[in-house]
Amino acid sequence: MCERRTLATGVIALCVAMSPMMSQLARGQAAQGQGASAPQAPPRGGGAPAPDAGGRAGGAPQGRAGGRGGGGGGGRGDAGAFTPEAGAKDLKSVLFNWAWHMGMLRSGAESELIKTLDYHAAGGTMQVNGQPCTLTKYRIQANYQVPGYRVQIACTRANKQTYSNVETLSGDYAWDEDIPGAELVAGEGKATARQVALEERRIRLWASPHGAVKAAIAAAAGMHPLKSFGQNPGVLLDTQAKAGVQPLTTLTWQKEKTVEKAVLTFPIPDVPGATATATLVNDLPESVVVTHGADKTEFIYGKWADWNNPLFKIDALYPGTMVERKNGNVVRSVNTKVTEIGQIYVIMPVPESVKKAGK
Amino acid sequence: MTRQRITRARLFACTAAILAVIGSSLVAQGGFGQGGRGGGAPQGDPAAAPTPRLANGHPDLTGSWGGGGWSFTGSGAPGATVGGMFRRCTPFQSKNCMEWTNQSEDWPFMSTARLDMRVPVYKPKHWDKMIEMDQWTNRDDPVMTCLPLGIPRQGPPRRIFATDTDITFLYGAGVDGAGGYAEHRMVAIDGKPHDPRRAANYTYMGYTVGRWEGDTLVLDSIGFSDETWLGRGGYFHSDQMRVVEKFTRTGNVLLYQVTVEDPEVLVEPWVMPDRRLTLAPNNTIIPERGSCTESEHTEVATQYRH
Repeated sequence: MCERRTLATGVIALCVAMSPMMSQLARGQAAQGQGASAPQAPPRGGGAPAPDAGGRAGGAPQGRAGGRGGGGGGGRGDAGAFTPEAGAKDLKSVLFNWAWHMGMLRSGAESELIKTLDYHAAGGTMQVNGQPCTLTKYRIQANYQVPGYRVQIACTRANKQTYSNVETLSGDYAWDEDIPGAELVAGEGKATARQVALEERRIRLWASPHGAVKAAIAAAAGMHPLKSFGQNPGVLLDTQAKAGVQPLTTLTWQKEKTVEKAVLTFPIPDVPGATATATLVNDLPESVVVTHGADKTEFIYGKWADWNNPLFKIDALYPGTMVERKNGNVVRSVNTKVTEIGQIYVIMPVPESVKKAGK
Repeated sequence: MTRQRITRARLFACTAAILAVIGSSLVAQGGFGQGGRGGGAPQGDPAAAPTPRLANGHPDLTGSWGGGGWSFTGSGAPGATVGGMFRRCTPFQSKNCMEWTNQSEDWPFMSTARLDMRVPVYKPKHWDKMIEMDQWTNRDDPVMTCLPLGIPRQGPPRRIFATDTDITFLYGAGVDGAGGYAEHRMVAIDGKPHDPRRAANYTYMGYTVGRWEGDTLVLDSIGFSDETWLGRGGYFHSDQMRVVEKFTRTGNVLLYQVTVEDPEVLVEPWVMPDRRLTLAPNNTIIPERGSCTESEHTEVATQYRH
C-alpha cells in the first residue's frame, strides 16, 4: 500500500508537471499525423488507455483569468479559451454560461462534448389518445450527433389497460418500434413509419435540456448543431462573428421582482417556422417554449442536479422534473431517476421498411 | 477513498499517455533508428515515391510505418476540438474541485473512440450489455487486466518485415488511446485456406492466412478469443469474429483497411475507417512488452471510465 501511495504521488507530480508538454505534444502529434511506436506503458499501470489525441486541438486554454468572475471553484485558476465577465449580459457570455453551468463543456478546451444521453424516469404521466397514463417506464436514449432519440414508454391507464411504444427519431425519419431496434435483425420486432411525427419529435429533441442549448449555440453561430458540436462556444462565436455570420439567436432580459432572466429565441433545427424561446434563471433554463404554426409547446424544467448514478458523478446536470404542455394541456410529466451522460453507445439505424416508406 | 482509488488509476493512465506521446513524438522526429527499406525518406507526396517490390513481384511492405491515428476508429472525431486533460472547475463544482481531478470526469468525453460516429452496429439485444460494460470499463476492459489488445484493436503494425513467403508485424504500445503493449505476429503468405482444426484454437491475434489480390495483401483471421474488445467503450466481440485486413502500398504510403464480421453480435460487417500510414524516415525501435499487474482491478468501485 505504501508503495502504491508513493507511486501515485510520483505520478501526480509527473502528470501535473508534464501537462502542458502533453498537450503540446499531442497537438504536434495530430498535426504531423505520425504515430509510430509509442513506448511501453509503465508497470502497474496496466497499459490503461488514456484519451486519444485525435481531433483538432485548437481552442485550448490560453492565458489566465486574472481574477475575473465565473472562474469556478478551486483549482489552479487557469482560464479557458473564453471566460465571461462576471454578470456579463451579452449573447456569447450567456450561451457559454448556459452550457458551462450544465457541465457540457469538457476537456481543457471547454468544448461542448455531450454526444449522448441515457435517461431513466422514476415515474410520471403522459397522455395517450387523450387519456392519462401512469408511466411505468420512460427511458430516453439520445444521440445528438445522429441526430435522433429513442423513447421507451410503458404506462397503465386508469382502466388498467397498458400501453407501450418506442418512439424513434433518426435524421430525417420518424418511426415507432414495438421493441428497441425493431427490424434491425430480421424477424425481430416491428417498425412502423411515423413521418407525421417527424417535426414533433425534432422539436422534442432540440427543445430538450441538452438539445436547447445546442440549438441556441448553433443558431448563434449560423450553423447546424451537428457542426457546432465539439467546439468551445466562445471561440466558435468569435470565429463566426469575424467571418461576418449574423447570429440567428437573439437575447433579451426580463426582470421578475429581483430575479433577472435571460430570454433567448432561436430556430428549431430542421423544422421550418418553429421558434424556441428559452428562459434562463441563474444560467439554467426553467422553460423552453416552441411555437410552430398554431401550436405552442412548453417544456418546463426544474430541480437541476447531477442525476448521474452515484458511482459516476461527473458534474453534468439535468433537470429532475420535465413537463411538456401542448397548447396548454400537459401531455407528459416525468421525474428523473438517473441519467447517464457519459458518451455511451446509443444508435438508431433506420430500418429498411421505414426507408422504403419514404421521408 | 473510492475517489482516491479511481483517481490513481487515472493517473497511471495519464502517465502512459504522456510517455506514449513523447515516444511517438520522438519517432516522428526520427529519434530512433536508421531508416527503412523501400522508397527512401518521404519528401513531398509520399505516394509518389517508387513502390519497392519483393522478388516475387509483389509490393514490399517492409519498413516502419506511422500515422493513422490511435483510436480504434482511426483518427478520431472529425471537427471536434478536444483539448488537454485538465479542465478548470465549473461554477457549481465544490470548493475542493481541482483541475487535475476533473480529468477523471472528462475522460469519456475526450476519447475519440467515444466521439466517433463510425462505430459498429450491434444487435439490439446487446445494446444494454454494451452500456454496462462501458460503465464498468475500468474493471472490464481487458486492457485493465493486462491482456493483449488483439486484432483489430491493436491497430496497424508499426514495423513490418516482409519476405516472398511470410510477413512479420511488430506492434507498438500506446494504441487506442495509449493503451496496450508491444506485440508481434507472423503470417504465412501462401494462399492456403484456414485449417479447421487450427481454427479451434482461440488466440488474441487470431489465426491468420494470407494471400495477394493484385498488389493488395489480404489477411483473413478467425479463431479469436472473445476476451478482447474492438475498442474502448465496451465494444466486445464473440469468438466467431472474422477480421479481414488489407494492406496496399503505394510509394511510401500504406493503406490499411479492416472489415470485422461477427454475426453473433453485429448486425452487419463493420468496415473500419481507412487508415493511411506513411513510411517513417527511420527504423522504429519498439521496446518489448513490460511488466503489468492487475492494479486495483478487484477494487474498482466507481464507474469513472477511460
